[in-house]
Amino acid sequence: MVRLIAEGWLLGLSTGPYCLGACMPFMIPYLFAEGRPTWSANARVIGEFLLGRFLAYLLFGAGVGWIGGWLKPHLTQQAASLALGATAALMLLYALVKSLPHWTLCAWALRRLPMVRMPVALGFLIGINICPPFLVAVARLLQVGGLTSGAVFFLGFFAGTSLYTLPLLGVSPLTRVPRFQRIGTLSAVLVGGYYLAVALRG
Amino acid sequence: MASRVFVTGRISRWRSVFFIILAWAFIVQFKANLIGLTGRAFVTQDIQEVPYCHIAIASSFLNHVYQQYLALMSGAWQAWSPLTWGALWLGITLVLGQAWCSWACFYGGLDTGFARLRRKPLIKWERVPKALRDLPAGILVAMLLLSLVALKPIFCLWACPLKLGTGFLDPNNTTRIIQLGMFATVGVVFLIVLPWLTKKRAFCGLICPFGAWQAFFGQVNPYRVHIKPEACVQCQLCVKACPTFCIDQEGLKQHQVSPYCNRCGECMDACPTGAIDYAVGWRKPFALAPGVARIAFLLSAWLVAGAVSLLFVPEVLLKLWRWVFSWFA
Repeated sequence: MVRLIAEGWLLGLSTGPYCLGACMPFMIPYLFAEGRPTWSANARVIGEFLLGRFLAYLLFGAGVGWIGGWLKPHLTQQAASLALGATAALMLLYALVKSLPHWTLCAWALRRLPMVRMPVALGFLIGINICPPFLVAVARLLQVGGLTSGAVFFLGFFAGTSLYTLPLLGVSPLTRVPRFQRIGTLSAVLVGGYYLAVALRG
Repeated sequence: MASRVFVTGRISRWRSVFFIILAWAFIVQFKANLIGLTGRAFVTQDIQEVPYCHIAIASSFLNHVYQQYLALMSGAWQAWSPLTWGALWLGITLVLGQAWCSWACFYGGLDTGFARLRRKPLIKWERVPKALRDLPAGILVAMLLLSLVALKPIFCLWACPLKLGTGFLDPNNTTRIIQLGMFATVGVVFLIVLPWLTKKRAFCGLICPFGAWQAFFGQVNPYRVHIKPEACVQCQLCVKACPTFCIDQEGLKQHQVSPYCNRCGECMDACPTGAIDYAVGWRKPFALAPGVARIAFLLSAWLVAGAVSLLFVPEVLLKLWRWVFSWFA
């Protein structure tokens, strides 16, 4: 079991920069747009985001371990587009609601959005994005098999990759500035739109 | 032209003439021969991977940092050429700051040209909604992040109008057609139609990521545009004249100019009381008298813009002269 955790951890450490690349375009605009005033508030956002990722990894790890050889490559491709599309759509919705709160549709969504834990939802959706490091982990899981082994392996993988998201906290001193919040919201619209187009292209 | 500015005191008129010539000379020198090859020409790998224009470099700056890191780690010193560009940019930023965008940038010259075609705007457009005022900075942040993740200059690949005069390795697929459509749309809307209808430089004022980049780093440059409260009569002529939405009604009440201001001088030419002028943002012992600051800025601007124009404008004018002469010979 320890060997499996260590294997996942090392895989996470070696491929983590790629994960940072996947999270960064969503998280940096989100942190700015959210505009939390303190380091601890931003750390909480990142913590919730990591929780979402953790849930996704745990669920996916267990699922893949359980399904084992049933997982087919074309399914992963479709799931990747679907997850990316869902993440981008959520980001786009959040940014539009944030920048146009007086619009009827946005006001309606705004009343309901606080119920959704945005960072957790973003983390979860990015977590099930099937990126190359994730596929490497899945490939190893297919050899390992088993529900518990899968979850344990992905736990290690999650811990390894999560280290790379900590530098995101560095934007904290800027997030309280209203101008940066506006810039964050605008860039969130653009990033969401771009990835939605990428996901639709498949 | 520089002397006309000093003699007449009208900055923007003569700057615009120079600026438009600079932009069209750039098009003739670097792009015209490629236009016929749009969508078909092969581009070198260097051009694909190392963007050579300042807008591309700014919007994919993190990629350059990453490349420099790789070059440093592998000892590939010959791959350090972007650092030379970096030193050049630093020099220009220290001397001109945001004024680059109104004195030496070829994009700026293009939309200035179309904005100058009408004497009066067909559609009045004096303010941008608050939510969109920082759109250039939003585009810059998005482009920096997306370019780093994709390891490609996303602005160049999807939004640069001047890429219309460039080809791709695989021109016939759907993606290429969409890209070319985007280039044409951005170019027609923001460089031609909106400037022509509104007399505003829509590309520079609304979407250029380099404008946002210079607005941020240009703070190290000492020159500012200053509105003297005692001389300002709140006539709003500067709001109408500013082509990049940098003076609005709210700002004018507090005599403030947006950090995106690129020192074009339109507001100074429009102001009936001479309340707006260049200033040096240094503290008292180092502050320059307003007239001295104006001369210092104009000398700096003409020196840098002149140096840039010398790279290709004389050659283009010579080519045009020979071409015209050949018709009569």
